[in-house]
Amino acid sequence: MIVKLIHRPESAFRFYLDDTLDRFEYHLQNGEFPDDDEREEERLELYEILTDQQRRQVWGLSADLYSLLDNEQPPREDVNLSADEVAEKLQLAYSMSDWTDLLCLLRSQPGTMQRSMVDFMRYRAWSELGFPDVALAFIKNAIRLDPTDSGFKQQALELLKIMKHWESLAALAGDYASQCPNDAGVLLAVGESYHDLAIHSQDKKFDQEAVRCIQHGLEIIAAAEVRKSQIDSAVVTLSFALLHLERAGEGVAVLDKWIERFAGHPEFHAARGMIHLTMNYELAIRDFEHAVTNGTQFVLPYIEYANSLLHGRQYDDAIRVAESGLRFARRNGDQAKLFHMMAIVCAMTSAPERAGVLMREAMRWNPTDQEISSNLKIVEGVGFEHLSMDARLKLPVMKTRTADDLLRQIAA
Amino acid sequence: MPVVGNSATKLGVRDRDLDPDVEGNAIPAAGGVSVFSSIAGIGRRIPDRFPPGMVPARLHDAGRVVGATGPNSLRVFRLGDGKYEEGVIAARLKLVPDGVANPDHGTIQPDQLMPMDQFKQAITDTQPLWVDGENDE
Repeated sequence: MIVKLIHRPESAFRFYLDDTLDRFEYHLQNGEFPDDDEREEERLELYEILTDQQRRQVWGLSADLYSLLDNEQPPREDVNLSADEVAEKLQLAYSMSDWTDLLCLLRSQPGTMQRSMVDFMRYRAWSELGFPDVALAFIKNAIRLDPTDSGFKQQALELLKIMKHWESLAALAGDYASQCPNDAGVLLAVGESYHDLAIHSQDKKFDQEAVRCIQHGLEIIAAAEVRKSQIDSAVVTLSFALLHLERAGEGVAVLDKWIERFAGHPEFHAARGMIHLTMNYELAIRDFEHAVTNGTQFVLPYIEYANSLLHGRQYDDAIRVAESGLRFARRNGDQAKLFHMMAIVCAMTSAPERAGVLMREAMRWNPTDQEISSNLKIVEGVGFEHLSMDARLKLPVMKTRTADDLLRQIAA
Repeated sequence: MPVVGNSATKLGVRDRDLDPDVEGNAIPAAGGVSVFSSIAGIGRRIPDRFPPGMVPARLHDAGRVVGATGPNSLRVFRLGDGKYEEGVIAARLKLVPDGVANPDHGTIQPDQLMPMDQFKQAITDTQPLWVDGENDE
C-alpha cells in the first residue's frame, strides 16, 4: 500500500475562499494586503485545480469583499444593464434560488440599492451556497453599514449558532444585549442565543440571561415591529429556559398565558407538552394531540402521540400521525422511530410485507437500535412463531423524561 | 527592470511552462512564457490565469483589474510597441497568441528548436527591453 496527500478540487476552492477572507482580514487589521509572494508557485498550482466557474467565483468574492474597505469598483462588462433590468433579473435569480447568478447581478447593479442591503443579499447567497464563514463576513459588514437594522443582527446571531461558533456567539449576544436594550427583536434573538449556549455548554447561567432578555423583549414588544414567528419562537425558548432552570411551573404558566391568547397554537401546545413530558405523561399527550392536529413543526409530539395511539390500538390514527411526522424529522433517530411505529402498525394489522419494508427502512436510519433489530427479526418470521404478533413485538415504552435529556433532544 | 527568476512573477522560464522534446530541447508550439496583450487584456482574462492575491491591489483601486488583492510590489512591464500578433519579438524568440478562444493571452516561444538553456538565456536577455507599462491602456 502507498499513501499520498493530494488536494481535491473542493479543497482548492475552499483554500481560495479562506485565503481571500484572510487577505481582507489582514487588510482590516494592518491597512494593506499581505505581501506573501514566496508561496506564489504553490498558490498557482492550487489555482490550476479550480474550474473556470470557481475561478470566477473567487475573483467575484474578492471584488465583493472590497465592500469591507468601502472601496468597491464597478466591474468591466461588455453589456451594462439599466437599474430596472438588474432589479428584474435579481428578483428572478432570488425566486429561482440561483445564488451564483444573484452574486454576479449584485456586482452589476448600478449603485441604486443600499450597500447594506447588497451585502445582506450576499450574506444570504453565500449562506445558501453552503459557505457560512463567507456569509458571516458580509452580514457583519451589513451591520457595520446599517447599525440600526435589527434583522441583520438577528441573522448574525443565527449564523454563528449554525456555525457552532459558541464563543463568538456568547460575545456577540453580550454586545447586543448591552447595545440594544430597547430593541425587542434583538433581545428576543439574544435570548434564544443564550438558551442555545446554555444547552451547548450545560451552563444554566446562560439561561438566566435568556429568561431576562426574552421577558424584557416580550414586555416591550408592543412598540416594536417584530415578526409573529419570532415572538412564537421566543416564547417557546423562554419556557424551555425556565425548564432548564428547574422552574418548569413558570414555563407552563408562560405557555398557558400565550395559549389563552392564541388558542390551539401548535408550537405553544408542543412546548407545553414537552414540559409536561418531564412530569405528567397524560397531560403531555393531551398537548401533543393539539400540537399535531394543528401541524406543529416539532417532531417529538408526532413520535409520542403516535406511540400513545399505538398502545391504545388506534392503528389507523397511529400510522397517520407517524407518517405526517416524517417531514419534521431532521435526525436519523427520529426518522427511525417513526418508521418503526409505522412498521409495527402494519405488522399488527396483517400487512406483513409492508411491515418488513418499513422495519428495514427504520433499521437503515438507525442500524444500532436493538429494539428495531429485534422487531425486524420477528416481522421477518425468525423465531417466536408460536406467539401472536401482538405478543411478540416490542412497543416503544411510554415514559416521562428528565429535563436535561429532553432539552438536549430538542436542541439536537 | 524586471527581476529575473524562475517563478510566475519573475522574468524567466519555469519547468512547467514548456514541454521539452525527448532530448530536453526547447521547441516551438510546446508552451512558453505566459504574457497578456495589455492591461485591459489582463483585466478581461486574469481569472483564467492568476488568483486575486497575485495581482497588485493598486490595479483594483484604479478600476483596471477589479478584485485584485496582491502585493503592490508587482509591476506591469511592456515589451515593444507593435501589434499583438504572432511574430519575432527578440533574438531567438517569437510571440504566439493563444487565438480566438483566448484572445488576450499568449506565450513567448523559441522561434526554432534550441537547447533549453539557450531558450532560458534568450528570455533573460530580453530584460533590458522591458519598460514600465503601468500607465498603458
